[in-house]
Amino acid sequence: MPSDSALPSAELAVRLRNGDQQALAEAFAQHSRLVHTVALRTLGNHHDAEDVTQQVFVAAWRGRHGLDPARGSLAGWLVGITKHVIADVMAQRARSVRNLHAVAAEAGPTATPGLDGTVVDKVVVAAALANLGEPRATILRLSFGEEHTHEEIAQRLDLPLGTVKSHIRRGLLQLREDIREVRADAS
Amino acid sequence: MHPEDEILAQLALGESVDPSAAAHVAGCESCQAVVGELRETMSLVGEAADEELVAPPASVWESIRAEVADEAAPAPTAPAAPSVPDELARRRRPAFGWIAAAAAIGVVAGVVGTQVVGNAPGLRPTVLAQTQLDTLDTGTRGGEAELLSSAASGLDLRVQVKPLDPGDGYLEVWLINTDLKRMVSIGVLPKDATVQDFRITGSLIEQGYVIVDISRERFDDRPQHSGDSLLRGSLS
Repeated sequence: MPSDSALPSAELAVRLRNGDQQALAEAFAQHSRLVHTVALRTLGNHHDAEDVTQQVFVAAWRGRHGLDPARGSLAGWLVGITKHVIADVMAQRARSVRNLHAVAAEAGPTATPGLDGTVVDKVVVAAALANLGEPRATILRLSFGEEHTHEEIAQRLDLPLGTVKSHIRRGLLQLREDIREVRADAS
Repeated sequence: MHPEDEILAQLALGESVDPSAAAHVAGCESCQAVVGELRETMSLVGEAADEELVAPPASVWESIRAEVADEAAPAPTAPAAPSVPDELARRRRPAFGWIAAAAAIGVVAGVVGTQVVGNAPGLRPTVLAQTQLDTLDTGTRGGEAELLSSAASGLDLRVQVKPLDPGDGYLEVWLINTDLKRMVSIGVLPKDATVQDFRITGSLIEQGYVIVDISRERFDDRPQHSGDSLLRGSLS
């Protein structure tokens, strides 16, 4: 199923793979909130999140030859890199905790914190939702987040009921596609 | 024939559809799978609806642009393997930059396959930071330490010293935090060794463990620092 945004996304991926630095800027403009929020939610501090975000886009640039636009979305590819960088930061943290424990002569293994997949999923969906544009994103939030009826949404946004229903159906199909593409490449 | 996606969306939303379409879906696994995914999407949206996305500050893009600016775009048909040490050498950011550099190597290697790793063993490590090691009392130079990064082996602390006297104990190498309250042992310096590499993690440096200390330790089953420091220096 061709989705509304598949073509520009694939085109951007091809330009990025070919070494177009402007494409990197566009990828950052489109996806840096996704990358940064995943890092922030999983690592819990702004400083680390900013460093991870920087590393992800630099690594994306240097590893751009591995980008396969046919395999999944650019967002999915970036989320995959983000997971790697975050896992590395977490592993470093865990090792350093173990070292500290060794110094204090405390016995027992220290659990390595894992990457919380639910958190990543939530942020991916929130980003995909935001990318739907308005009023579609707001309509879907009201419908599935706050569970308003279609009639209430139509009234609240002053839109015809048919338009609201159409936005919900198409928005839902688009989001399913976005999530599939991210999962295909970020796993 | 499978109904159109919009019909499947209507089914997922619990709306009534044409009976023949509903009958098809009831007996079609692939259509049911799509409806299932659409329902899952609905519940994901419900959970994510109040998730606020946070944009990174503008300085992050400036840093990225600065890092990639001097990397000329190679022709698409002949991608050059990134020269990792050169890239690291250009990085002059302190502290977290070191760990980030190591992370980037890992990721790039993962993304481009064996290109980087395959070239790595022949590459010289890059000196990220170094220090003189001096005696605490008289400040006499007794050696030096270097923080080395290589694509092949990650981060190492290389300690080079004039022969040191372990007395009736042994020599231990420590990293002390800049707060001077925390320290970690990174290994034992063999008797009569004048140069030795110790594997360390970037997060230690990131957290401020940058003071290199060589102490004389006794065989007393006490893992703590003896307090008998022979040489010390702060990486920069």
